[in-house]
Amino acid sequence: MTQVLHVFRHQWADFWRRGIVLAMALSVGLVGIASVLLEWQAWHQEDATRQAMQAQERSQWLALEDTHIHKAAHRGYFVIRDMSVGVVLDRGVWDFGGSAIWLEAHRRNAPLLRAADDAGILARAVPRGVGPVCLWLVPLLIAVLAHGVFASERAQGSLAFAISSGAPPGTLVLGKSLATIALAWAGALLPLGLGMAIALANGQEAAPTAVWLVATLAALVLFAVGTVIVSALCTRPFQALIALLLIWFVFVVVWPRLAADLTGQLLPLPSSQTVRVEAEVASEGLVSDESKDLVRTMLATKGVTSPNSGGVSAMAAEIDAAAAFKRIFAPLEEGKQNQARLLDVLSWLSPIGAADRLGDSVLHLSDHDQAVFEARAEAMRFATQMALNEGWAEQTKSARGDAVLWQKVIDAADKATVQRPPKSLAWGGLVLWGFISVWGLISARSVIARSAV
Amino acid sequence: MMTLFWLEARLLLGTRLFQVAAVSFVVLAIFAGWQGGQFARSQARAIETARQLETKTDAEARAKAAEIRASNDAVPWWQNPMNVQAWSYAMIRHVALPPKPLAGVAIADADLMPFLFRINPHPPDRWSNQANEVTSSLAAMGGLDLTDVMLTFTPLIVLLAFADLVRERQGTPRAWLALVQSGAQGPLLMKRLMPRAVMCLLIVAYTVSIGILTTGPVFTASTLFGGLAIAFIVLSYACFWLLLLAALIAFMRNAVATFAAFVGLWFVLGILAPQGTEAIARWSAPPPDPLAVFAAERSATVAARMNEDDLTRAYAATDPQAAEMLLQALEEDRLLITPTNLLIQREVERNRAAEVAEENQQKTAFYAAVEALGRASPALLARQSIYRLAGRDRARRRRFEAQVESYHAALQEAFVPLLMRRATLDDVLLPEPFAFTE
Repeated sequence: MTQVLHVFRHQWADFWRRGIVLAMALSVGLVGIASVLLEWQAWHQEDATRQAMQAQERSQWLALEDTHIHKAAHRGYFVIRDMSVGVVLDRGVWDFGGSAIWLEAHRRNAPLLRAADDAGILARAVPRGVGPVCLWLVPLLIAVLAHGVFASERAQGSLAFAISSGAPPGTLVLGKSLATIALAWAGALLPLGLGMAIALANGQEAAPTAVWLVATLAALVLFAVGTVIVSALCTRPFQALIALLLIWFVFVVVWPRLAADLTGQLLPLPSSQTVRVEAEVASEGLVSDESKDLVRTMLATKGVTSPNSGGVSAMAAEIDAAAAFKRIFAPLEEGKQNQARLLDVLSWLSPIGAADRLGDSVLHLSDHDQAVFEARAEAMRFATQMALNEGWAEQTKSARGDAVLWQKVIDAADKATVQRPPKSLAWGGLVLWGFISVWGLISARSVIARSAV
Repeated sequence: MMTLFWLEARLLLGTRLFQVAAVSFVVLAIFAGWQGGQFARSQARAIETARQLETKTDAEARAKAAEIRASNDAVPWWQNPMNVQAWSYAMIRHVALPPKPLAGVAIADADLMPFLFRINPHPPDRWSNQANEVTSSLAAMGGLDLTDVMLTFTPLIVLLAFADLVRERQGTPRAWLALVQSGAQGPLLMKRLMPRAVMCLLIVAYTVSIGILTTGPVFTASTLFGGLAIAFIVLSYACFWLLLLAALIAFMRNAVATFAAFVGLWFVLGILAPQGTEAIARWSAPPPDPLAVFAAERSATVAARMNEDDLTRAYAATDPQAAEMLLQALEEDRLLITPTNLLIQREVERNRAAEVAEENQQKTAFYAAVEALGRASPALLARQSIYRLAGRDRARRRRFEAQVESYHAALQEAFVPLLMRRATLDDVLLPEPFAFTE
C-alpha cells in the first residue's frame, strides 16, 4: 500500500509540475461552473413562470362561477409539468418532451410547449447540465493530458528501468490509476459539488442526487482507468493519444447517436396522426348502455338515486372514451417504453452513455418520466371529467356549476396518480465497464511486467 | 514528385488506424444516407396517401351533392356534404411541406416538426399533424444523417491522415533523416502535406458521393447540380480543416500541443458553436419567451371565453342569417362548440394582434441574428448550406408556416359564415388543395 501511495505521489507530482492539474482544474472548473450558473438561472426563471402559469390556470378554473358544466368540460384545464431543479445537474430529455397538456372532455390532447421547438439552432446530442458537460470534457482532457502516463515512460526507457529495479508492475498500475482518477476528479469535483449544493438547496432530493454524483464520478473513474490501460498497452505516447481520442469519439459522439438510430429502426413507433385521428373518431358518440348502468350503480352507492340523465350520459361517455384511448394509445405508449428500455441496454456499450442515462433517470428527467407525466395527465383528465359530470348528475334541473364543484374538480385532479414505470437499466453499463476495467488493469499489469524484458 | 506522392499515399493507406477510420466513415455515410433517404421517402409516401384521400373524399362529397340535387328532396343541414365535412373536425384538407429531391441528405429537425397537417376551418388546436412520434431520447439525439456524418468525421479523417506528420514534427529519426535528405523543411513539408491532403479530399469526395447515392435520389439535372454543390461544400469544409492543421503543423513545434489545439478547435467550432451561437443570438436579439407567449395566449383565451355570450350576441347582430340559431342556442343554454370556438379564436387574434406582431418581429430579428452568427463557424455554415440544398432549413419551414396560415385564413373566410348559419347549401363548397410554393 505504501508503495502504491508512493507511485501515486510521484505521478501526481509529475502532473502538478507539468501544469496538467491546473489545466484540468481551470478548464473543467470554468466551463462546469459557468454551466451550473447559467442552468440555475434558466431554471429559476422558468420554474417561477411555470408555477405562476399553473396558479393562473387554477384561479381561472375556480372563477368559472355558474358556467354550464358541459361548457366547463370543453373549456378544459391545462396541466403544466413542474421543472425539476435537477436540470442544473443534467438537462436530460427535458427540452424534447412536451410539458403542458390540455385536459378536455373526451379528447386526449398531445403535449405542448416543447423547448426544442423554439430553438434557433437545434443543438442535439450535445451536453447540457454540469454532469454531461463533465462527462464530455473530462475524458477528452484526460486523453489529451494524461495519455502518456505509461507510454511516455516506456518511450523514454524509465519504465523498463523501474521494473528492472524491482518496482512491482501491479503497484505501478494501481498508483498511476489512482493519480489519473485524482486528476479527473480534480477537474470535476468543484463544478459537480457546486451543482449538487445548488440543487439540494432548491429542494432536490438527496438520495437520487447522491446516486447521480456516484454514477458521474464512476464514469470518470472508468475512463481514467481506461486511459491508464491504453497507455500501458501502447508503445508510443502518440499512439496512445490517437487511440484514446478515437475511444472518446466513439463512446461520446458516435455511439449514443447510433444507438438512438438503431432503436428507432428496430422498434419503430406508429404515426401520431394515425393514433390521434383514430382516437378522435373513436371518441365521437361513445355512450354505451353498460357504462350508463355502471354510472347509475356508482351514483346509487353515493346516495344519488335519480341522477340527471345528461350527467349520466356524460360520465358514461368519459368511461367509454377512456377505455378507447387506453386501447388506441397502448401501442404508442408501450412502443416508447420499449424504445427507452432498449436505449438503456444499448447505452451499456459506452460507460459515459450509461452514466448519462442513469443520471437522467434518477433526476426524473428521462423518457420514463416524460411517459409518467403524459400518463398522469390522462389520469387527471379522466378524474376531472368524472368529478365534473358527477356534479351534473347530482343536479335535478340546472346544469350549472358552482365554486364547490370547481374546487372538487381541482382536488380530483391533484389526487390522480399513476404507477411509475420500472427504473432505468442503465446502471448495468457501469457494472459491465467496471468488470472490463478490472480485467484491463490485470492485463496492463502483465504488459508492464514484460516491458522490462 | 509523383514518386513521393505515391510513397506518401501508400504509407497513409497502409496505416491500420487510418484504414479502420476510413472504412467506418464510409459505412456510417452509407447508413446515414440510407436512413435519410428512407425518411424522405416515407414523408413523400405519406403526402401521396393524404392527397389520394383528399381526392377520394372530394369526389364522394361531389357525388353526394349531385345526388341531393337530382332527388330534389329537402335535406337537413347536418346531412349536407359540405356541412358534414366542415362542422365535424373531419374535413379532409391537407397541407404538406414536400421533401426536396435531395432531402435524404439531411434529416435535421424534420423528425420533430410536422410536415403534413390535416387541417379544417377550425382553430389550429383542432388539426392533426403527422409529426413523427419519437421517444424523447431519440428526439434529443436526432437522426444521424449524411450531413452529420460528413461534418463530424471530416476533421477526424484529416487529423488521422496527418497524424504521422504531426508526430514527426516532434523530431523522430525519420523526420530528421527526411530533412537531411531534402535540405529544407518547408519544401519537404509541402511535398508531404500535398499528397496527404489530396488523399483526404479524395476519401471525403468518395464518401459524400456514396452517401448521396445511397439516399436514392431521382437523377435529374437539378439533383446532379445539388449533389455537386453538397460535395463542394463538404470538400471546402475539409479544406478548411486541412489548412488549419497545416498552419498548426507549421507554427507549433510540439506534436501533442498541435494535436490538442486541433481537437480543441474542433470541439469549439463543431460542438460548442451551435449552443454558443444560440446563446449569443438570444442575448443580442432576445426572442419572445415561449412560456410567456403561452401564458398570454391562454389568458386571452380564458378572458374571451368569459365573454362568450356577449361575443355570440355581437356576431348575431352582424349576421342576420346566423342570428336565429345563435340566439336560440343562447336562450336554451345549449352548447355551441364550433361557433363559440371560432368567435373566441377571432377575439383572441384581435386582442393579441399588436403583441403577436411584436413577437413576430422579435422572432425575425432572432433568426436573423442566428443566421448571421452561424456564419462564424465553418461547421454551422456548411451545415446550414447543406440544409438549404436539401430543403431542411428553418427559412423554408417558416415559409411553409406562413403559407399554411394564409391558406387557413382563406379557408376560414369561406367557411366561417356558413358554419355560423348551419346553412343548407345546394352545392358543395370545396376549397382548392394546398400547394407549397418554394
